[in-house]
Amino acid sequence: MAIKPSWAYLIPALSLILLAQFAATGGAAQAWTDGDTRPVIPYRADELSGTGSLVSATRHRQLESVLGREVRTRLDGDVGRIVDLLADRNGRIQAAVIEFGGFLGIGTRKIAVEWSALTFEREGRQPVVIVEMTRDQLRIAPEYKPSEPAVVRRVAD
Amino acid sequence: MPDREAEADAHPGTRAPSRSSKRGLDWFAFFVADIQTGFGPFLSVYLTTQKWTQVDIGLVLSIGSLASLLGQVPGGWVVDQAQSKRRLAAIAVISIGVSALLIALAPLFVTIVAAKLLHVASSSVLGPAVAAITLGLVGHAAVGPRLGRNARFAAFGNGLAAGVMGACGYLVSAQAVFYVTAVLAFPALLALRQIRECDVDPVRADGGIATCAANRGRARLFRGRALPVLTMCVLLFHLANSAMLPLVGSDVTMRSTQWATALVAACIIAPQVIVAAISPGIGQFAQSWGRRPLLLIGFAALPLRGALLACTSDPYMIVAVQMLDGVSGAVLGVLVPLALADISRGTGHFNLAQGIVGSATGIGATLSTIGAGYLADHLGTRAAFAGLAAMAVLALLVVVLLMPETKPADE
Repeated sequence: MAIKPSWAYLIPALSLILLAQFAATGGAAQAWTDGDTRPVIPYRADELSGTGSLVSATRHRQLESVLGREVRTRLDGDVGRIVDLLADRNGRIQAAVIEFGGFLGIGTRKIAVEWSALTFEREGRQPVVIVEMTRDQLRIAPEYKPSEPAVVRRVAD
Repeated sequence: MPDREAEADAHPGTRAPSRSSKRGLDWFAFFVADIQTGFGPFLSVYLTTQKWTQVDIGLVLSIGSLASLLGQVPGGWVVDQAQSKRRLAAIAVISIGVSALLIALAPLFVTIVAAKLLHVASSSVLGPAVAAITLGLVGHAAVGPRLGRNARFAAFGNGLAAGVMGACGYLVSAQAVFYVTAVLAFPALLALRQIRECDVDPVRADGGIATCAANRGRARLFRGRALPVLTMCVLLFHLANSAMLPLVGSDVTMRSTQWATALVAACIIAPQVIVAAISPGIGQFAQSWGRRPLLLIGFAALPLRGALLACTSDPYMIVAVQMLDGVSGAVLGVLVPLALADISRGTGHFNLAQGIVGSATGIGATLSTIGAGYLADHLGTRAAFAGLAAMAVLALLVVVLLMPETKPADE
């Protein structure tokens, strides 16, 4: 499925990253909500915003920042880095833009990869992002261009 | 060993440069190339690791290239004005070290923009200053072979730094590359210290004799067609050249299964080996054959490279074709400052002339990226190479039809 990108869509994508970073709401990044969520902590928002309403927040131990993370395949080790996220009209993340290959920043290619093709795992204490594709499947993916409709690489292709 | 080059110098009042100064210049050229490596496309890789968005990275890079375009001419002018080129070069090297440290320590928007501007300002001074120190050290009569030697050491520096910093970025961290850069400023300063102040003639370093007023000197610089034609040639050269390596890298990344990273590295480093091998010879031949034949060889290598890249899609062939980049790189690296030294002789504005040509380089490079990107998007990578080759043919034609021989008749 292709997503029509526009600059406006960057804003929800980026705010999602911020939300994930500050662990403010539960539904923003579903990838990590399995287990290990602490009990809901009610707190008074008026300390922050002065509205006086009671809101709840959940502390997630497993929420991780996404932007700039290295991505590896099962076989080839590091292949690139997540540089952007693409969300649909409902704010759901559909794809990650991965900067792939190159040497000293020369010869890199940006490709959009289906969000569900990424799994977030742990190697000991180190969180790792794994893309369920081979290096060869990634290298022939069409280049992602911010000004054009994104062509998203899918696992099944 | 008696120094034949220095004895042939047209300025009898100045003595031959000491061995220490010549050695110092070798290693200064080497380390100046080293400390510039991390500031290229690698900066955007580093900022990505620091969770920068693509929009912010693009903005910083645009600010950098715009500042660089505007800074070249003032940078050259400052070098002309400075009494001590060495001191100015030292300030520039320290500023680049500080800039690298800022980038490594505080990757915030404000600090990165400041560091980028500091780096751009320092580079616009440092480039002309190295050539000015060279000319001040050896004089016009011997500057050709000496520029060839500089280019050899700079190519060693470029090649080695690309290898070491690429490995460092991959194995340690992107941040480590900028710490290494900051540390390398120290050996650069030590090399600069080896160059004795008394060996660098400040008047010679500006390409001038102090008898004429500054304005008359500037008017003389623009007399004749040599400077505008050379500027045009350099602009067209970079219009054809600058986008080629990134396009080659991206193409190899897409086409090569196993060795993509190593092959892209080879596309960057192999031309530097060629430059290191042939630059001193080019400096020698420029002295005996004159400048035009060598400029023709260098400008002919570029359309050939573009045409071959347009026809080849085999990654190993592409690396082989990249060797031609070394040929044109060596010729441009030696002959452009040499021709500028010829043209600006007796004007006192050698470094202003370098700044003008530096701006042409920047304009050509910027337009090259835009144009090749457009062609690659709409017609494909091979068509983009063909388009760049066409620009290179135009550059070659300008050299063939308009570029005069600048070598003085009495040498």
